Amino acid sequence: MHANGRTFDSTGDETGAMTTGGGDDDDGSAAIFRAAYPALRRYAAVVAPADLDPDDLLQEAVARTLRSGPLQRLDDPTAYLRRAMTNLVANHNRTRGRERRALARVRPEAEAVPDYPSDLADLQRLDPLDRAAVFLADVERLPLAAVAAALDLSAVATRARVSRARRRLRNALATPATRPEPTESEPTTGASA
Amino acid sequence: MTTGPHRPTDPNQALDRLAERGTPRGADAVYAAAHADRDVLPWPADAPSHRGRTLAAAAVVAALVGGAGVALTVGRDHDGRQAPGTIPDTPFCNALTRTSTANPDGWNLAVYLDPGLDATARDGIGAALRADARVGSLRYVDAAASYAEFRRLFADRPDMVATVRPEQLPTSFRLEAEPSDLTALVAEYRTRPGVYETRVNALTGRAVDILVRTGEDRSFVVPPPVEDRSTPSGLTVLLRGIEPVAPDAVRPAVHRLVAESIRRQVTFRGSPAAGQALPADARALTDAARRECHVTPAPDAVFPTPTTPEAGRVTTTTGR
Repeated sequence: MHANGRTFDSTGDETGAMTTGGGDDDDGSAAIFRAAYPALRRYAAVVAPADLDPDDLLQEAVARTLRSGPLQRLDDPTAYLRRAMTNLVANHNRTRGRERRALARVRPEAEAVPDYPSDLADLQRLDPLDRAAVFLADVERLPLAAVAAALDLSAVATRARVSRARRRLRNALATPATRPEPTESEPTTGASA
Repeated sequence: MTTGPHRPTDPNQALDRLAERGTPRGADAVYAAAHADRDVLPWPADAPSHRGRTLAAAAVVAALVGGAGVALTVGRDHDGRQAPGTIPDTPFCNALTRTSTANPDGWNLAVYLDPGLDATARDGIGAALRADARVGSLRYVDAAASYAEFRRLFADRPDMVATVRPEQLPTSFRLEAEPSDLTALVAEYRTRPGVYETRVNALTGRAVDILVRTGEDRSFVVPPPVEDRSTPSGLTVLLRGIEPVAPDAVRPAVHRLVAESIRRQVTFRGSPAAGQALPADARALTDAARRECHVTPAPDAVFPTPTTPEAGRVTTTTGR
């Protein structure tokens, strides 16, 4: 998967070598991050599962990125960090899904997840990629190419994803409230991407 | 399913609200934490296998709890009383041995109980201690009293106090015994059901110990609950207090321990990740404490010996 000339692996880590910068690099990275923080924090709040603090997700994405080099060496640090968060969430959900299924085998009663009162609970049970697609396209009003870069999809796939996600979100919010059974593709804390 | 009174039906409105959830920590705080984290590799670069990684992770856990713990719990002498004039009055030594300089309550061994232990089990342990001929005075310290003690020890560190809630602190029995009996008492009671840990009153250890309570694996300082993860853990605050005053040679090691503490707080729901240098870092801090401050580990401390890189193991010994 390529973004801005750099490569992610499936865990959200970047593969490929970059040198670690010194003090000036740190100052530059901090300045870039400061400017991008409001947008990145909003994106993190949208894609992070309910049990993960948005700032924690963002911090992890930044830490992993900094291990490979300063932010100013990226063509588009905001897009890069969005995609890093997307991949981290997907990985997180895969792990949680495995843990939940394993737990259910040994303690079936443990499958029940506390249902915290929230009018956004429906939304957070949906696939985070769906949330991300509609959020970037319709709320942040990013161009399709930027949405595609954040989701690591082709333009065609992104267009289809956004369309499908809009429909799912509308349905989810219009349907009065019965708690859906978590499925392989839609875990309780957010679906695997 | 539960819904709130203002459940939005418009996806854009709902997503916009979702985007504003929580209280942002701010760009500078997030970047600083990420920057501190960046030197900690998620796994050893040559992680050979799942089992190997598990062993390496266990090694780091042991090193962090044991190594950093020893560095922070080094006793001034084994009966908990400071040997006058033996510890230099330097910022580093003061940060390491943060404590009162006396043992005003007259106890020299704490028997910490598992959180949530019922009254019957608690009373059973108390009865056993009272019946033990080696035990002199004995008193029970409940969570509120532990919290008061914690606040007193860290009266000048409100950031530390803010990370801990009374219910996170373990209750304990405090007792007085002859120094020559302490090692045997520690070994004997620490394995008793319902006992979380036994600690000689190596004063600093009191501060650290009450930050540690049982978790699923009782292997690390329990981070704040999920909703409070924006607050640094107690261990992080402690190590951050030591870092700026540590000798130049050991400061990078303390920095990495800080980073690991932060990283674990962030990712504690997953398995702990290992960094190959961490056991060495913990040992470096311990060695500096010995060298610079002339302190020795408490007799019950777990002390990591150098790792064998191929296995990633840390051998621990007790009763030093």
